Amino acid sequence: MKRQRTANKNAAIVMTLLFVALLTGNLAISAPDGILDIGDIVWGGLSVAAFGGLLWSLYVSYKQSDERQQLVQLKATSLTFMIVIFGVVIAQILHALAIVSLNITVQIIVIGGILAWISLMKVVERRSN
Amino acid sequence: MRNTLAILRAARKWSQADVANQLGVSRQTINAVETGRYDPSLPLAIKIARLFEMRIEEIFILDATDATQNNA
Repeated sequence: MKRQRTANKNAAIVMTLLFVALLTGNLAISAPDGILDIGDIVWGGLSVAAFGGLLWSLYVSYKQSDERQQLVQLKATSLTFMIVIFGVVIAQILHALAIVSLNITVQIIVIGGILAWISLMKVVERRSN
Repeated sequence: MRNTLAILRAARKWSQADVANQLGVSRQTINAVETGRYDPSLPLAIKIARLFEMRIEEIFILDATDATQNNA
């Protein structure tokens, strides 16, 4: 129960940071002027803090898990890694062909990667139960 | 790999949660071990054997198919 409360608290902090980063990011991207101002720095800092918090939560969750749960997390992470690498290659090709901006595709890959990881965790967990 | 964990647990009237708490793992892990969907690591297998005061090979039984795959 204490483990779940810690996980919920970490998730709430990360989601809040991500939400604020997305909000400020919209303002930064919607008015790109090539000049690094305080808004850009805040957005960049919040994004780094949010994903740093996400990585920290994943690390804490892994350390608190037992051996089977760690195996489930590692399997899901390795599958997600392959999906993300494939996505990066596609994004690079689309950017080289000037079809889609790299900035947009990277955001899609990051969000899609997180969702894929969560889904794969549930699939792998179900198959091992 | 088969095991007699469920039988041993029932003989002592322990729940899966009881065994999990004593071994420091989740109840889902004990369930996965009992149903044969997960083979425990050596340290966990030794802990299980010590908990039930038996030898590892008395609790975990290598199937004929497992032995064939190991020899291949």
